Amino acid sequence: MIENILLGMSYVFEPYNLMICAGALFIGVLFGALPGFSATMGVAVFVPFSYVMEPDSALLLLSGIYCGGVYGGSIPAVLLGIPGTSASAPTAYDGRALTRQGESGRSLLITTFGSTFGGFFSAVALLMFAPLLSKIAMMVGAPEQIVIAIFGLSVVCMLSFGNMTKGILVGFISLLIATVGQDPVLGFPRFTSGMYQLTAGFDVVTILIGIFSLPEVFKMLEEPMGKLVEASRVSKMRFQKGDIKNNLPNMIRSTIIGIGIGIVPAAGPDIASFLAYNEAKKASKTPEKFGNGSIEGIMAAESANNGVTGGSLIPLLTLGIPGSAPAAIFLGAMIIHGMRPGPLLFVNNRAEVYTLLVGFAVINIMMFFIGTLYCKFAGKILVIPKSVLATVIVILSVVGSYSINQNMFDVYAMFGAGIIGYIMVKNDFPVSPVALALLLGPMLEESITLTNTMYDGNFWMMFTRPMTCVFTAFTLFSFVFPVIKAVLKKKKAAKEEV
Amino acid sequence: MKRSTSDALICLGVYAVLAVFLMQYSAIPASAQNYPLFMIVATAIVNTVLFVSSLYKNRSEAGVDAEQRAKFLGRVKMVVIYCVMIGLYIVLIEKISYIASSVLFMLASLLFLRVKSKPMLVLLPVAMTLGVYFIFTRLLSVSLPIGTWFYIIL
Repeated sequence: MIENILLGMSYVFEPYNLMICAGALFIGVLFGALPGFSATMGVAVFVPFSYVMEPDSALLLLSGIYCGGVYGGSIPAVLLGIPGTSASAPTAYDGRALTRQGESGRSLLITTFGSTFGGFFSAVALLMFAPLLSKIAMMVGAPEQIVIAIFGLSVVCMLSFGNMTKGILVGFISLLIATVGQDPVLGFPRFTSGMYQLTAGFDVVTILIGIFSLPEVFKMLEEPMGKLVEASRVSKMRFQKGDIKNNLPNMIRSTIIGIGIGIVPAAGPDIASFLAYNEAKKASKTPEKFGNGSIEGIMAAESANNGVTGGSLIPLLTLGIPGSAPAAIFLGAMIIHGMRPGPLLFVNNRAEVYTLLVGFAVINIMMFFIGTLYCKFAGKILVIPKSVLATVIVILSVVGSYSINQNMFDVYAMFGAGIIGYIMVKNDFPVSPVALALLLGPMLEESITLTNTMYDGNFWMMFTRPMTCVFTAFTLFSFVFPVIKAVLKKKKAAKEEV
Repeated sequence: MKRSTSDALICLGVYAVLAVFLMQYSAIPASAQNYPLFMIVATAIVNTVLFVSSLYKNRSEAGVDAEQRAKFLGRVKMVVIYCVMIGLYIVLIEKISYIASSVLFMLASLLFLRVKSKPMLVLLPVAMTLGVYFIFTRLLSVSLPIGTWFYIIL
């Protein structure tokens, strides 16, 4: 193992490869930060560039863009409350709240540190435990995905922040909207109102751009000449005492969630960040701070979404199964470079694989420094007058939503989602359950359909699978734990009174 | 407007959406009907709970004073006008190209939002539009609309 790691290091630390890593990170962060663009798109766009490179450099280029892209979405989430990618949606609550309190610098630094922590340890997991974790990946099928989706949807209640009925209503109607398009059984186009553009359903990213960015623009209209934060309140990028030490268990838990979600097929960084955020709130001593500028919330979401990066490559490298869109693109690039992912990859392409694994860890460390540099410049956005910012956001939202599928229908959908989002915000309807339900809805429906076919309608049979039982126990525990915690707290308070 | 009144109006909107889904529901093959039906029923139940509680609250909730109403109407007017501007911009992108419509929208938006600096009014629309055009078309290979009207003339 050590010999292989040293071999990987010898390739990664070549000056050319280090430059590739840094350049890829710069590009990746930009992709993540632009509304409508994502890490997956970044990796896809740059695959052709990798053809002319050596295999090790090509893999480092794609890894850098992937990691940078997942992180980059958090910068506009913190500064403007507009998540660059759906994985940064939970960061937007607390990051934006901290920015309003004049702690944008601290918030950005915590975001960068959390991402680096999650990404680095997911790379370590990839390096050390890939064969072991691949066995778990083999045991995850449709029944387990049902439980994971239900667990994920339970976050809707937490995201509702005191408006439970409204939150659940938003969750259900979003799940219903997620059924628009072809059904997973027969491929029959449902609820399309005869519009061919809806055959594939609504594009999730388009809806998220609209629902998060346009309400912010409309809110800016209330005081167009003002600034988001006065120049004197743009804080320096400094940690406060205890920011890291107090959050260590939170970051470790969230990174494990990220890695775990990463190895589950079809589940991505967005689901991981919501789940980790939810778990962090349940475990927190100050849950009331969540949504109002909680450091724990940001750390959890960021550690988890970057924790997915390494985890998502485990099934690909060890089994040859691409469990996510970026992993599928990696698979294509690896085949082009003469590598065949699977159990023999670690024998036949030792040098390239260990360059990728070590490179993943190095890229995540470099991400801290490059991310900090980005944040220093990005922080200046806050002193731009709202009138200018609103105009720029509209242009970026329109172009960003158009660029996803290069059709105008997506732009109209984004606009409609933006108006609905504003009405929701103004009437205290939480908008985040929309993101969660649209992301998890198709996975839930497909898993239910597959499980129904597998067990001929006898759903209880899914509990004969060990992993389903483990995930169910975990889900039940996450529901029961806050109740136990509240009872214990009450008892403790009663004792103190006596 | 009272919060409970707006909640009740939103619930009516949700019922309208559910009606659209229900009208198309029968066209789905029987083997794929269960999941959407569950979602329609669940949404209808939660929506009814919210609707009834809004109506109940409406009786006890205090009304909005004239000052608040004027402020609310002013805000709505501003948002509606800006929505119309964005809507026109989106329609014009297809018709007169991304570049021309974006420059026009940015200029109109800055004037509407009371920006008075002339360099800002000239430089920002041109620089932003061309910068975005360059990044998306040249670097990211996204071909932005060239305008159907221009296309017909050419």
